[in-house]
Amino acid sequence: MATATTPSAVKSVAAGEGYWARIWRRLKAHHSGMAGLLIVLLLTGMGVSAPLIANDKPVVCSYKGELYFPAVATYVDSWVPWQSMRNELKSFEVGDGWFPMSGSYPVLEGKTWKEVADSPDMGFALWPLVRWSPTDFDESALKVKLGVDPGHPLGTDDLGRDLMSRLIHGTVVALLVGVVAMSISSVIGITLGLAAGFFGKGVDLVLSRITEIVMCFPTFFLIIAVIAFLEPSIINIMLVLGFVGWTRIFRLVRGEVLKVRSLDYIAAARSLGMKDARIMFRHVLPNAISPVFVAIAFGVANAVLAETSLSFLGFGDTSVPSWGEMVQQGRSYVNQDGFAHMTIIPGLAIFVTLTGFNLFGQGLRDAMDPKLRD
Amino acid sequence: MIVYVLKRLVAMLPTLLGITFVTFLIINLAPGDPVATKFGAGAGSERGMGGAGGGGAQSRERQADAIKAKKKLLGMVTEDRTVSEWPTAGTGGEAQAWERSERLAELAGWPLSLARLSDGRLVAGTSAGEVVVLDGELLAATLHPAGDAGAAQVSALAVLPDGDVVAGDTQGAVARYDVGTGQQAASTSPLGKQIRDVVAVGDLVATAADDGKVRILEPDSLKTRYALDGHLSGVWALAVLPDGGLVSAGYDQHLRVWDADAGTLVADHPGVGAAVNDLALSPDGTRLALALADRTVAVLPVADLDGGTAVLLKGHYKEVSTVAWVDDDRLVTGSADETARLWSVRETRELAQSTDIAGAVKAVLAADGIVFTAARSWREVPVWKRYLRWLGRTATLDFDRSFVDDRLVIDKIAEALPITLGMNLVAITIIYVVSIPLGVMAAVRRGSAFDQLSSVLLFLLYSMPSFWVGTMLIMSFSSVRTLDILPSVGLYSDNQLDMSYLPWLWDRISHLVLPVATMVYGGFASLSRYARTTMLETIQEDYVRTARAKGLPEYIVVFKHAFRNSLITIVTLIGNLLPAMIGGSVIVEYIFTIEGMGRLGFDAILARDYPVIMAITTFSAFLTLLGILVSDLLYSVVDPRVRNE
Repeated sequence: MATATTPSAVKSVAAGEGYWARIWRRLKAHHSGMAGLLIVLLLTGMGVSAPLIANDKPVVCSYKGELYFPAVATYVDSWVPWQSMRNELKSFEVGDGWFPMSGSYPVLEGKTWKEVADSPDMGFALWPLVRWSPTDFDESALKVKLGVDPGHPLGTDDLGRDLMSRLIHGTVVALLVGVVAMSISSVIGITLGLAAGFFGKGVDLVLSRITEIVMCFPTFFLIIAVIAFLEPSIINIMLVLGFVGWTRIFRLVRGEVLKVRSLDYIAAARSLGMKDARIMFRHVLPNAISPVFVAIAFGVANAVLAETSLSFLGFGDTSVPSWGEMVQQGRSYVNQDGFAHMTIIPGLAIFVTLTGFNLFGQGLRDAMDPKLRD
Repeated sequence: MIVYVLKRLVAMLPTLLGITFVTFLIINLAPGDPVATKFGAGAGSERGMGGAGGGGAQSRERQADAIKAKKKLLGMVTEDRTVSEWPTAGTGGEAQAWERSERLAELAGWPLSLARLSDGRLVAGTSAGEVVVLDGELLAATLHPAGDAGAAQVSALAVLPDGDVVAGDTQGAVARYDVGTGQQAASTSPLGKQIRDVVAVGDLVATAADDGKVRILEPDSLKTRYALDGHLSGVWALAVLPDGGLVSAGYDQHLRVWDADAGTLVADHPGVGAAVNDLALSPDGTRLALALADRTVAVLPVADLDGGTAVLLKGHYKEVSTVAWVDDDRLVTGSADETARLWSVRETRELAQSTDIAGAVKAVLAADGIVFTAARSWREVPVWKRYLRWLGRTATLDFDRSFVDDRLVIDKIAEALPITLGMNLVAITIIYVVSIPLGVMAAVRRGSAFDQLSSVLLFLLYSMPSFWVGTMLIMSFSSVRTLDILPSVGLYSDNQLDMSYLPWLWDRISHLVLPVATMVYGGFASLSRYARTTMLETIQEDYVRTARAKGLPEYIVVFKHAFRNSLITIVTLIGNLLPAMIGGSVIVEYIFTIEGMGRLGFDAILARDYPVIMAITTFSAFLTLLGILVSDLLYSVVDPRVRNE
């Protein structure tokens, strides 16, 4: 009889719903949460493909009989941090050299892709939707209004930079800063929170005091102060946001760990002679971490808001397009006709991004809330 | 209750220490150079390098001042009271940094005057009224007996041919001391005006005083033989020419030559067009060096004191207070710009410049190729001592003066803080008044269309960046293109004082509408959600069910039983709301040009105005801590159980 019951018991466990599967099912039923997720995914897609949507180089073209993917080289330029590795990647060739990714293209003889666009050497070319890169200066089009020049669908700023292109590429900056800064915060917050909650006593006392101190400084003012002293590069902004924003996660994790630590199965693990590290990472952390995901979703929104606010105040990295800086530009035109879109549109982009992450965070919170269990 | 408050306060001490430590850390790690453009001619980029253009030299000087000011602010250096020795050998070629070779003595007061005895020992007069021989032997503790209003400071010293020392002080008294015995041999009563200089002229003693008289004194009794009139105002410097003539000069720019024995004016030269702080005759007796208040040093040939052939040495950027000859070519000067500089007269250029003097150089002396200065000096201080000093300043709210406008930082904060706090108070009130009813309504009609709609709308509001909303509000209500009905700059109109009461009130309110709107809209979501959650929890309590069961009307159940109990926990949130708003005030005050804490901090950061930055950071942190404390205390009033934990 005993042998007969075992398979069915195993089967029922297997058929039962796991923790994450249940949360996913409940999230799927949460309309606004799913809308948030959708917004986040769309923005991510837009960010990832930004160099293919708005660029001053064709996505793919045939020039003097050879096939080129110039816009792809933008990825190498933007995302490979080391110069030597960039050079390596750019000289990367496949077969008879029909996949050169070099940004310089000796075949152009010093001209840009745009200048050779109409030359007879150009076979076919698939151009991006917006034919301007965000840092491209169009000398002939300073301060173009909305809808005047079909080449600049949203017009240009007073330096002749295409607003549509800056808007699209701003997605990358916003998301990257949000995600990287929040990753740093999460690693710090989770590690310290776990240590404080698990070891308690002196460790907890010291870490809690440190957290209290960091919390006492008005975050935004602290960030401005530090950014003003550092070189305002996007890396520094990410680092500062990350190193200032971990307190909420620390408190969350610490609280959860304190709850979990006193549960029976931890005592059981201890009596089995498990090492602290194993108990911490195998048994405590996985059971304490789920509320952190909600905090992370909200945290990304906060980091995006902080970055755009910084660049609005002029403390941002001016070498990359940021929505905050664009709103600031628009601010100087409040008394001129035809430039309201310079303020409204980048602000809308920020608004949509924040809404996406906030809605997703709220959906996740509702899906994880044990009180609302179905 | 009192025990609990005390316990909470004690628990906050480590945090307070930590706050001061963090501010200390930030200011120490921050790069030392304040932005040159802020001080200089305004050439160059907005931040980073500047001052490369026309006003370069001037902006460098101001920058040097600012760096020194920062070092003092941080207590990175002590200002010790020393007479120091400086080598002059090897100071040729390119102008270079000049480093002291030895600190000879540390004194009780600031050294103000120097003289050298015939046996080579130095004598220094200090602000504490001492006259000290620098091998350590104390000549006289004070020139004046205690009881005078303020101790007299020894401002002038001279050595007589017989080896005695004559000292003049800031209260106008002159005294003679026997170096061998250390006894005071003679003295005069104070004349109320500072003695600026003392020299031995022949057998006599001459003094220069702020009352505009040159006095010739008997050497033994110090009785006045002549009081020579002629200078229009204070006489600041004396020198003796090779032919025995006494030269005096001062604020009226003139150089006057006297016959000390006869007490007559020999010559009156118009001078070089600037007040003279000090005079020095070259060792070969052919030239006279003048330390001038116009930041230059002039060297005149003794044969032609009218100034026609003066050599001008330029470089100091504050007045030159003292000058001495090292040899027939080289001069050493001390200035209020906190440097001592070595010059070559023949080449008309600067040879070396001191780096670690931290106060006006009051006196220089040169002998045997060695220069001696009397000035405060910098000395690196260990970090822990610096921190302790910082702690002391924070505790006494002593943030010194702003680098930008030299006003006391605490005054600037006292102006800005009420503005920010006042606006936040208005904003917080509005947030509470609006969001609590919304939250309660949503909880009472849980799941209704109202609940869902208000939640979504508030959530969308919450997701709007405040700088965007602020800008859009200006675009909509304060732009000539659209509605121009609300002001967008400042908190009141320029002509507010001319208004009668009602227009004045409307002026104030209309200026507040847009900023406060920008501050409040984001706060509705979190607070109303909190109110809703608390209310939902309270509604499920047994006593609410009991109230319903005994047939009370629904509104009494909701407002008397549920709402009043949930309100208590919501109110305790005020303490936590305040700090976030101070941080957020940077943006609102920036957009609407309001001179509150946020704007003050923003401007200070741009100008690298360290005292203000540190003061604001510290103040905000303290306020936050205060907010947490108030929250805790309110909570403990509501729920006395927490006091016993």
